[in-house]
Amino acid sequence: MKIIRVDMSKKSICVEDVPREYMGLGGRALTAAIINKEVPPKCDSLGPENKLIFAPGLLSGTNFVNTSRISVGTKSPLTGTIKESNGGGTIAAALGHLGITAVVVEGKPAPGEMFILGIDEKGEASLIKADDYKGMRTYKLMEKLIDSFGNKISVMCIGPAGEYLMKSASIQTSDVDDRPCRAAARGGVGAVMGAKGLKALVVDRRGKSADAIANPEAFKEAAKIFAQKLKENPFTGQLLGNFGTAGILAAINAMGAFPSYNATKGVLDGWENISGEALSKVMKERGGGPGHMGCAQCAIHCSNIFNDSKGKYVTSSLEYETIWALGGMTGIKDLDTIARLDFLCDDIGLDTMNTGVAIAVAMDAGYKKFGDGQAAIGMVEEIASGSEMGKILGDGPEAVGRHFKHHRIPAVKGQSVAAYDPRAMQGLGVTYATSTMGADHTAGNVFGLYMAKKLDPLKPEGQVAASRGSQIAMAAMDSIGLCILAAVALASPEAGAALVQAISAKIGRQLEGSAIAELGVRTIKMEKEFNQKAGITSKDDRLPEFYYKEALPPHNTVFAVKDEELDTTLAV
Amino acid sequence: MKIKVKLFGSLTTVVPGYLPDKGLDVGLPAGSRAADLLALLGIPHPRLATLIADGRVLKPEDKLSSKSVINIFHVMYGG
Ligand code: SF4
Repeated sequence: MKIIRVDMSKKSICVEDVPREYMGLGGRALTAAIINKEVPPKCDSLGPENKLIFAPGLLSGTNFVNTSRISVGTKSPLTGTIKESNGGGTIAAALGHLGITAVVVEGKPAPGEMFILGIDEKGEASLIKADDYKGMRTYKLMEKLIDSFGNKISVMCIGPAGEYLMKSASIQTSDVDDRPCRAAARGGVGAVMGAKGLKALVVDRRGKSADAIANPEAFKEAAKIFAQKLKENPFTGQLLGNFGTAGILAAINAMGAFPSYNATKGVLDGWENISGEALSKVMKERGGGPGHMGCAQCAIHCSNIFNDSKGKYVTSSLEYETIWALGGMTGIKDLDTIARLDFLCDDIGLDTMNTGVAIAVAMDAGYKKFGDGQAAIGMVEEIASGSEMGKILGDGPEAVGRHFKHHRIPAVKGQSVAAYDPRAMQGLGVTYATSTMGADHTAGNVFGLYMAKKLDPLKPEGQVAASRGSQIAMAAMDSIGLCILAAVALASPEAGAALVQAISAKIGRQLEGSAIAELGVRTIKMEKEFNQKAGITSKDDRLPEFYYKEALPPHNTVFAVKDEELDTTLAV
Repeated sequence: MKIKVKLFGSLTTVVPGYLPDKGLDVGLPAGSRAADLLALLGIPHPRLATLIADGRVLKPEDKLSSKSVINIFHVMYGG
């Protein structure tokens, strides 16, 4: 249990035991605690006072399924709020195997200086000059890093967008096949990494100094029960492995909640061409496929490999939200073009959602035509070039909307919404508006409640409570390091008990069943406290005006949850 | 009455020879409800199935209309 602190101003590294106040925290809870205590809330997010924290979850590095999830915490240059951007891949497990609770990067080097932070198999960290890697895109960078560090590494890195300090810049992370196709994508965390002069964090995967599990037998038993429940659920046991997250596209479209053509329609004509079913078929025909194990320890395999018609690799981990942002929102209904755009975003180091929505806003404003795939590819390449227009596009939908003086900007606190329209799924609107980190579906997605017939998606009643419950649960999952798709298993009480049992067995203290919710509440409280000190008020917790005024077909509804109710969402 | 049904995800394999482009034409007594359709098709885990018609999620007791296309999914969640 140790924290590695890296001062980029002094180029110094120190290792400390986890201080008492951070004990028992992991992932998002830990990043929230560190930022809340150590980062001046009104600081420049790209300045030396901000910190960038990489924290594996509480269970990362154990053999509990689906726990190689990492929280990247910082003050966001995109939203001005606290940010936890969650990523998969292998690095959380690698850090867990080394007994590293967090890596905290602070300070700022002289302009133009760039480094790689390497952590070897003994857990020793060092800064290595990265002049040779400057400007490099992530796939090429990954190859070069493997040449230099060997092929037993996990990487988090930035591409040109991060070096340009763009607000849509992601931090890409390597998957089980060493491809930088997974991402801590949201909130412009890549820009913070760029501002810190850090091109990559490279961690040796062969660590053998994981924190001891206090009660290994009880842990093993709990892990087994949870894995079994995951397998039994048709969604996690079958659907995700066969269709990936895009398997939900047809259902959301059928519910009239698939935001299309920059959120002017809730049903996409030609959706069949980009559905999970179509994607799965095309991938299988071309020798790629769904069912790919993107992240270490994963028992679900929601990831995929998309090849071109000649069987050549195009991209990996082509997800529902990406297909929506780069497809539905832009009116592009061709999987080959969407896959190419996904690859480019990963390679340049861009959040596919913020980028897709930025393109959609530009198209809606008349800059290019909806459905023009070549124009979309051109716009993403423009971002990589760092041109004036590229910088506007790379800063996301609000920057694009401002540039074109266009009113329809589907974003909250600067961050794009996700693939569930709040006028047809009102609870998602509550989450977008009130989450501690801008519009973020992963902060509290209630779509499952609509599918399970527990809540009417079109009515405002009950949405605030649903969003609150989901936001608390997700904050806990992000802290435990459990993939939120695996959290679906918690619908079974046995799985819930097993998760509590596993954490208890790991830390050597029997927790109550309420411990998970308490962890979520504690995390959100810390995040809210930081945001309040940063000057965020309830006025910021609102959707853009058009969601209240422009009815979305086919239901022709607007967002109808009242402001006073929204303000109670996170009064936890 | 005759009802047009579309199956999605893993459910496409429940009915042998199911063609996604065509869907199914299912004959049911007039007044049949969502739960009757699931039973007739032999959908596994019927409690975990969701029927969507005309943009709305149907409850098991909801009556079916021959004018609607019934889309059937397993309950899914967003990531
Ligand atoms: S389900 Fe998908 S996102 Fe979650 S751990 Fe597995 S591969 Fe990663």
